[in-house]
Amino acid sequence: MTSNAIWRTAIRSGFILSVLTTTYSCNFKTPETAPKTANNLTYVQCNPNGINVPVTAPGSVPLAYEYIFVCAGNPVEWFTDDDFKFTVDFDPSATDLFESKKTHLDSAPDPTGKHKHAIKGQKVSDHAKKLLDHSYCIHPQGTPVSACGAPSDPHVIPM
Amino acid sequence: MTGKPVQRLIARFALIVGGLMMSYGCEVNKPEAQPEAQKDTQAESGRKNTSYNLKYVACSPDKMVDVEIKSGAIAPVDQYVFVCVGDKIRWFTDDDNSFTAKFNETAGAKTNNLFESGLAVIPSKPDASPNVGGKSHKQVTDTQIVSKNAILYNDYSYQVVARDKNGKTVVASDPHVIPMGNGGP
Repeated sequence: MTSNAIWRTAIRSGFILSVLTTTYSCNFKTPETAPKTANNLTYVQCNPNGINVPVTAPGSVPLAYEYIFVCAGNPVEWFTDDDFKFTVDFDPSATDLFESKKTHLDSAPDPTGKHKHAIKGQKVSDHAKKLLDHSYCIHPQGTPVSACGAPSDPHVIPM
Repeated sequence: MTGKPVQRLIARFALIVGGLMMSYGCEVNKPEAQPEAQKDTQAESGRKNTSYNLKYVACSPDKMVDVEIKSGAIAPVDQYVFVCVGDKIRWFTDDDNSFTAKFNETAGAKTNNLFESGLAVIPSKPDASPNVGGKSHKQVTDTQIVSKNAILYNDYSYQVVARDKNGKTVVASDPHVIPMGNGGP
C-alpha cells in the first residue's frame, strides 16, 4: 500500500465513521419534552416583577389568564393593544385586595406607548386574604354594561 | 507503512474526525431558542416551569385526582384543583376522622352540575378497597366524575367538614375545584 492509498483509505473511513457517529449521538439530543404540568398549584407561583393581564376584545382575557395568582406587593396591570378603553370591577367588598383599596379601575392611554390602553399602578395589599377567590369583570367602554358575577368572569387569587 | 500501523493510523484519524463532527453536529441540532418576542416573559416567574397564571396547569385525565385531607384541612397546593370533563376525583384521609365535602349550592340549584352524580354533599366512608401497595386509606369518598355540564372556569368552592368519632366538627376548610375543558388552556 502506498502512502497516497493509505491517506485515501483514512479519509474515507474517517468520513463514514464521523457521519455515523454524528447521526447516532445526535439522536440522544432530541428536543426538550413538554414542560411539566399539574392539576393543582404545584407549578403556580407569583411573579414579583409584575402581573400583566392582556385584555382582548370584547372585554375578556385569554384562557390562561382566567385565574391569576398574586402575592403581596406584586404590581398588577391590565392592558389592551386594541383601541378601546375598559374598566375592571371587583366586588365592592374586596377593598383589601389592592393597596389603593380600589375595586373599580379605569383604563387610560398607556403613557409608555407599549400598549393602547392600560390599568397600571395597582399593588397587591399585604392584607389580601390568601387563596380567597376574587372574581372580577371587564367592561369595554361603549358596550352595554352587564352585571358582574357571570361564570366566565376572570379571577385573582392572592397566594 | 504496513499492516497494523496503517490500521492504527486510520482508527485514530477516524476517531478525531468523528469527535469533531459529533460536537459540531450536535450544536446544530440543539432545540431552537425561543425568540424573545414569543416568550411569555410576563407570566414566567424566576423559577423554571412556574407561572402566575394557568400556563403550567393542566388536568390529567388518565389518573385519579386524589385530594388528601390532613387534620381536616387540604394542603395549600390542592386548595385549587383543576379538572376536565370526564376526570375522576375523590377525597381521602389517613386520619381517623370522617369528613364531608360540601359544595356550595347556588340559591336556584338544588344539585351540583360539577359531577355526573349531581351530588353536592359527598361524605367519606371507610376505605373498603384492597390495600395494594399501601394505597388504602382510612376514609375515602365515592369517586366523582366531572360532568360535561360543569361550567368551565367557574369556581366551584366547597367546604371540607371533618368530624371526630362523636360526630363533632373538628375543622372546616374552603378549597376549590375549577373545571377547565379538555386539557387546559
